[in-house]
Amino acid sequence: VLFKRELLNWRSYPLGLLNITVSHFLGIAPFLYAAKLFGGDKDFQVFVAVGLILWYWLSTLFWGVGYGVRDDIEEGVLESIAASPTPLQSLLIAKALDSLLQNIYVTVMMLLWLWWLMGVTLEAHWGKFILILALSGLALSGLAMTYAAFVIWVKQAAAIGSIINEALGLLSGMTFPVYILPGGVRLLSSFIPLTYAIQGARKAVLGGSIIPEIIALIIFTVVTLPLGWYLIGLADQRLRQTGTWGEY
Amino acid sequence: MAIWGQRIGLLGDFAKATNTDNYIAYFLIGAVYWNYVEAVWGIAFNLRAQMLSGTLENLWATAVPRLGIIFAWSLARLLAVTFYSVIAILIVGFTVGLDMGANPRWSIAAGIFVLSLLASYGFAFLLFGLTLRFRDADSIISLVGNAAPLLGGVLFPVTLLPLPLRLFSYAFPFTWGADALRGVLLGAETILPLKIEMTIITFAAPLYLALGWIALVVLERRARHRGLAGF
Repeated sequence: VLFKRELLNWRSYPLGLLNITVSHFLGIAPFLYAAKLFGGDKDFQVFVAVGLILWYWLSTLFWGVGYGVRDDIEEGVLESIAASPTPLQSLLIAKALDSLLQNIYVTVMMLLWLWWLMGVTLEAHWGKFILILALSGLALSGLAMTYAAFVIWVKQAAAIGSIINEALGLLSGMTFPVYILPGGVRLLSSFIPLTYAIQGARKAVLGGSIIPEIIALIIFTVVTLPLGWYLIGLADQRLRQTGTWGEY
Repeated sequence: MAIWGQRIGLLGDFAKATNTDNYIAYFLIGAVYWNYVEAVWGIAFNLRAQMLSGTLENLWATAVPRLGIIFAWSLARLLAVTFYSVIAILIVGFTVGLDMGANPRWSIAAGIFVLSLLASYGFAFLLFGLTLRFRDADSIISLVGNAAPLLGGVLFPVTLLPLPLRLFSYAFPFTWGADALRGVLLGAETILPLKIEMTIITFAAPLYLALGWIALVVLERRARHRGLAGF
């Protein structure tokens, strides 16, 4: 039911669908044109494009799930959900499913825009590419749920969320290979699931074994999903104890 | 990306396309300038926040003129973006180094910056009006906000865009603002000769301001007829 509610939102706000059809590509296009300035071959642009697409997966989950719960607080519907026997986790799972569906749609649209407007085609091993996207979705969902717990806990978390989102993109090498990062920073990037998601997707497109990335993403999923689930439970408990469902 | 491009020997292509090899300053000027334009446009987000929290009607019913409200919101955003920009410039300076070249013409750049920002207020007024008029205005703002850096050539010269998009991009004042700023500060190649670009910006500022204000007044009148509530 909650997932259906998320889908009904799209029907209520049809411009939102138009927005995600176009906007995400528009968001990455300046970087792709900047990549074009550096000449090279198409692989340079493909490399950058794949990194940015994966970063959008994180972004959509981060804002859709992580900060999405804040929209429900602002609109005053979280109290209604809390008053029902529905656990808070169900709401976030519905939001995660909606975000994943959105990500699949946006990825397809981005690939079409890339081909049509910039002449860039991804000649990927599609099986590998989809596997990496699916695992990335799971690993990043855990991260987004952890952020959602943070949002419920501290309320005003948009600025921090924005910094984390951008920092994760930068540290994961969304527009460059992580090997050019300084040693200490590179070590930090190895603890971020997005790093492996981007690397795996790039290998699926440009060639290379994706087994290390698959293993890393499974490990991250096993760690971050239960952690996110547990933290959401804690946040739920706190809201019920303090009675601050409607405060923001 | 740029640092990586340089490391793998692609800087020559960049220099050939832009007439400068100072890619750090080239991107930074575009990004900082765009932050200011976005801060001006951001007044539509302030409006949306008021709509969502149900305080817009109260605000509208006070004696504070709309222009005063818009000015206050945008001033707050401009101050914030100045703070963020200084931090960004310092971080770039300390991490990768920032060199503005031998002869940056700061006074001309300041004039271009102010005039093109004034022209951007015209677009901000239009967005403000659209936010009042349409209930899913967030999508409109997001769409325009995402299209603008591409069409305005924030990180690259718009001459790289396909012709139909390029023609569209020439209608935006910030396209000329970003291009002219890189021209006067870095000696980068500009779309048109600098004097012509500065003339365009000078005329665009009052024109866009007036057109934007008219659009705001018309859209607001329509919104009032339908009622401001309901989103």
